[in-house]
Amino acid sequence: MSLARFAVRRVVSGAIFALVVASLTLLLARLVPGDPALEDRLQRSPEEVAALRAELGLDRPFLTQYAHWLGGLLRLDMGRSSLYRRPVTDLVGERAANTALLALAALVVATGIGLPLGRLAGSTQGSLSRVVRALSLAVLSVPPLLSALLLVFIAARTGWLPAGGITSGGLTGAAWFVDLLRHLPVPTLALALPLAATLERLQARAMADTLGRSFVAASRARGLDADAAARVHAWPVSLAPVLGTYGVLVGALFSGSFVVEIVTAWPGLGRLLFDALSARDVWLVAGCGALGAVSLAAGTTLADIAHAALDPRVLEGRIE
Amino acid sequence: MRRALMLVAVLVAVAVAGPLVAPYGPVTRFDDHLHAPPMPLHLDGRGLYTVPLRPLDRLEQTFAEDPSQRAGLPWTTPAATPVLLLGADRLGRDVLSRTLHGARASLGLALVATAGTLLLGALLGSWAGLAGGLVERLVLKTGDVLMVLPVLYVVVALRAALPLVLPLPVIVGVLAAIFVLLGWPRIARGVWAIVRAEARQEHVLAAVALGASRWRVMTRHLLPACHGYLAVQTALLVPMFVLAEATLSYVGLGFPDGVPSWGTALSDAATISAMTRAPWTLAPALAMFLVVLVTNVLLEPARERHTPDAARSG
Repeated sequence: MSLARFAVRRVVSGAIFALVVASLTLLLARLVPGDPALEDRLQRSPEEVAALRAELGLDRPFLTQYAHWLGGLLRLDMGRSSLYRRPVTDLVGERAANTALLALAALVVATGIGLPLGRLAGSTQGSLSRVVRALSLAVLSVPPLLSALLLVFIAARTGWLPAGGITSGGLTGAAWFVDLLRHLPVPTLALALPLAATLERLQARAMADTLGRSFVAASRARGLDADAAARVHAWPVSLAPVLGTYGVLVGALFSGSFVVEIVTAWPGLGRLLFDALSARDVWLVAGCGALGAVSLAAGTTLADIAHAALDPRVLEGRIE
Repeated sequence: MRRALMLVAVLVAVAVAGPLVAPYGPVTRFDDHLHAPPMPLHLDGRGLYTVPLRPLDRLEQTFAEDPSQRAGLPWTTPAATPVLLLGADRLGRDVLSRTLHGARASLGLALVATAGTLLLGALLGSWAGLAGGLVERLVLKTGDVLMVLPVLYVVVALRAALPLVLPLPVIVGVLAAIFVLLGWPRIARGVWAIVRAEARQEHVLAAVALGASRWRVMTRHLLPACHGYLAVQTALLVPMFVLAEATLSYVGLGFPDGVPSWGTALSDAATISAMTRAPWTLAPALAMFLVVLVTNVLLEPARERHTPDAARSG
């Protein structure tokens, strides 16, 4: 299979995945008991409730709603949020950008910590590698919920960094940016640390495996010293299987960011979905689901294609 | 494998014994001791003892040790002088007791969900491995899709789609069902890989040639090959589900407030003001960390052997 054909196939299956998940979210949102028209506790007359239901499009049969929603999706119109009284598209876009910022920062930090340490731990067998391994196991045992709580606790106790939120508000320009940067470390680290430990373990294992293979021995036989053999020959090969797991990591990143957003009050997609679910805001839930599904599909598809481009064995179907 | 089974046995024991050894009830309140700090244990010639606390200022919630008095361990001291080894939470409830009582709900749910996940995963995985063809493709593809989904989003969305207030057994059932639904694909894929490899072995071919039924081949010749894998996965699933429960209860979609669990205790403790004023209320987080850490340390070598992951296939 050529790379292009592989890419097309992955994009198509990614699109189908996104459509199915988005549709299921809408179905789920409609199944949620409770009625957005009755949710805010204002005393409404039956006529007003009926009018509101008509405005939100909830009085029509489900299939009509679904068709209408899919049509709107093509024009990037996902209806109006009954909770925030704003178009869902704007709301979801803003929040998704915040989640993307958090997730990307965490991914960069996790990669920057995990891969070098993993390479170190995988290619040496001294006490250093044992220390890295022990640290990883300890950090792995602090999943995002606990790491977020711990970091918020430290930030609140010491006052070094703001413990929650994304900005202090009321700032513009450079001051706003600096403020954003000060809010970023707590949620980013909470999300990145467990991920970094996972990557470190994977990379250490891949590096140790690769170093034991015959082409490394062959390069040593040609007179390369151990360091050079590890750096030039083993390291790039050992990267491929680790990069292969990035597709799965996207899901873990989403999951983790949900908890971190809730604990650190980061206004991202996860928090929005949670608020929307609590308020029975049908179109907002569906919008979050649709955008989440699309980002997830895009992330895994990109990771898979990158993996295939780096490791031709994927195309030959020799590894999944 | 033996380590994994021992670990699970220990967790079951903690879930059963936790509430039995707790010094106080999960909702017993000591109104004089709101946010009281932990009382350290002292040791002298007459044995272990603690020094009771006397409230100084109720509004500020400050306490002083009362050196004229001496109390024993909480189990041997009359309830009139509370001995709070891990301090008290904002309602004056003993944190140690709540953590011990919470073990039952948290670990109990995790164990039930783990059993269900193993059963469904092993069943579907071995079925896919034996039947091949359409069944195989369907099981694996469905599993792949489910595995990519961000677990927590799905759990929260599914739980939110159900009525919030339900009787406790129904809540346990619903939560366990959601966990099983999201957990089985991992097990199914592992079992499928083992069964598929094992089915080519000569002892299996011999059994088939001798006319053994499919059921017999599966239960007697194929599934035993998965024992080690399943034991390790059991020990890995339990802490995962403990955390899932904690997260759900933390956001208010797990156990209701009245049920002591590590998640509900955490959601109580996890406001910034509560955390800075009384960090000892985070004890359930420590309990969870310990469960996960012990699992990771004990099972690291086994996991490396049993996980059919990309890192090994190169």
